[in-house]
Amino acid sequence: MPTLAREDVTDDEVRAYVRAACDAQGLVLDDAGLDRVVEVFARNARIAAQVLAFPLPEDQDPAAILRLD
Amino acid sequence: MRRATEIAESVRSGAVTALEVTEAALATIAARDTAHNCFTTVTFDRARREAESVDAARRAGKPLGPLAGVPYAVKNLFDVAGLPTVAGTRTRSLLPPARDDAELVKRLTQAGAILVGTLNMDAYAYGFTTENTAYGVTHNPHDRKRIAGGSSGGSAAALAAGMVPLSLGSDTNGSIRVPASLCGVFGLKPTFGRLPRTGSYPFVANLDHLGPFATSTADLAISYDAMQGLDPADPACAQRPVEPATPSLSRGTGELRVARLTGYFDDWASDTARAAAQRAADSLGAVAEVELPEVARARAAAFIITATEGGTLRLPELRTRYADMEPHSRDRLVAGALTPGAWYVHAQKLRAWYLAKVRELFSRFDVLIAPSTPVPATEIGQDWLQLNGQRIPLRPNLGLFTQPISCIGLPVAAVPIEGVSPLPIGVQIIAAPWREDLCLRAAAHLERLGIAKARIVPDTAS
Repeated sequence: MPTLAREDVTDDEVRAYVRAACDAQGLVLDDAGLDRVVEVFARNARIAAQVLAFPLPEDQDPAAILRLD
Repeated sequence: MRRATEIAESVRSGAVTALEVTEAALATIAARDTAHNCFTTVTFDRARREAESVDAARRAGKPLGPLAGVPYAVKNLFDVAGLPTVAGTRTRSLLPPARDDAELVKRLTQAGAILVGTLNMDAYAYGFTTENTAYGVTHNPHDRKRIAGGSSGGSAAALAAGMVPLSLGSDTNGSIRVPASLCGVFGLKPTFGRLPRTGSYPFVANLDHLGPFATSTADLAISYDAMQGLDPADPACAQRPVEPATPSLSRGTGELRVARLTGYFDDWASDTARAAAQRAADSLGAVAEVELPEVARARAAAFIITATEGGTLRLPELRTRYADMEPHSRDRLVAGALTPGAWYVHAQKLRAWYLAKVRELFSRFDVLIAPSTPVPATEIGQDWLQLNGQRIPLRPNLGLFTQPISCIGLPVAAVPIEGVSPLPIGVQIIAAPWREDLCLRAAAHLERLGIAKARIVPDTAS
């Protein structure tokens, strides 16, 4: 099964995920709300594709940057 | 409205009392805010009490703080004792009032400043336009049909409208720098971890910064200096001593190595924004043009981190109060809360990689120059922008140039540039972590040259 983080992700693919994920998180949306969230999530998925396509070094420190000193 | 440093000097010398200054500010707010909608609360009683306290201290011969008698206001995500911390939302307005002030409010009070109110913002600080459904749109004082920028829109517009000389805002992805640019005032987004966030409502803990707006670099520096210092209550606050920036303002830019950011920043800038950055760079004697590595991907990483953390933080509210939440942001919060963990972790790794690469640039340059916004203020309700040959959504993309800088915590002075546009537009002066002094020093130099200047609307300037 392909990842959703793709430039060519479709609304139908996203809708299935969003519906299941909302159920898992206890979020209740009506049809109009679901449509809006699908649109946003699909945009996020295309943006995530840019991030995930970048080949990071295997030992890249995953720590969040909380201190710069 | 005079500058903060001038007001404080007048109060210290006895030329005017803090109460007189405060009453004048309250009267100005009453007269002008109906047109601009910057304030969500005006703290009349508290302001008068604080002013009387400053005046009593002077009469008693006690030393007065560096901001004695200076009226200021704060974005309404700062705790103010006795008020609910609404963070731009209707749902939070029903919560009990804050029992104590935010740490930065305490520090400004200690410095003698007078809190006159709280300011409008995008709900949850998730936006760049301050088009707020619950509290109304904040209008740009330079053209009421246009946005003030956001999310700290009230903080910038209150200065541009001449209502206060100083305000506080927050900046997660550009929320100080974007409204500073569109309203024509100065702002400072300090290094991540420099100023404590205790008592402010979070948006994205990994990216949230707090900082001041002012109408001059001297005011920016003196307020920033007054707010520095350790705070064990904020786990992100650095264990660093106070490093005052004010003494550096007069040092000029003689030996500073300045570069202008190109590539992505040129590609996505309007002619106006590009001209502003070029003018600032030329005036600072820029020696080079450089590109940031993988800057578009870094911005994408910031976008994913923001969506994920911002949405996750509000899951309880999304489960129970979705219908009452801000329509401009609630669907983005839901989508963010559903982000797969692997996306978030990869975004954090990319962010760490990008920070290391950008830090290398500071071995060659002291400050970097980039536009703050791709365009001057757009019209209220506008949905789209035409940039780089593409039609793109306006609201997320006002942060095109700010997100790739704040996502790695670098300090930035947001500086209004004169002479390139009828409407205000600003640039970012960016330095290595903990070098706010360099940002402000370069900004002060531009101000002395007349290249940088705050714009206060003519019919309200005094």
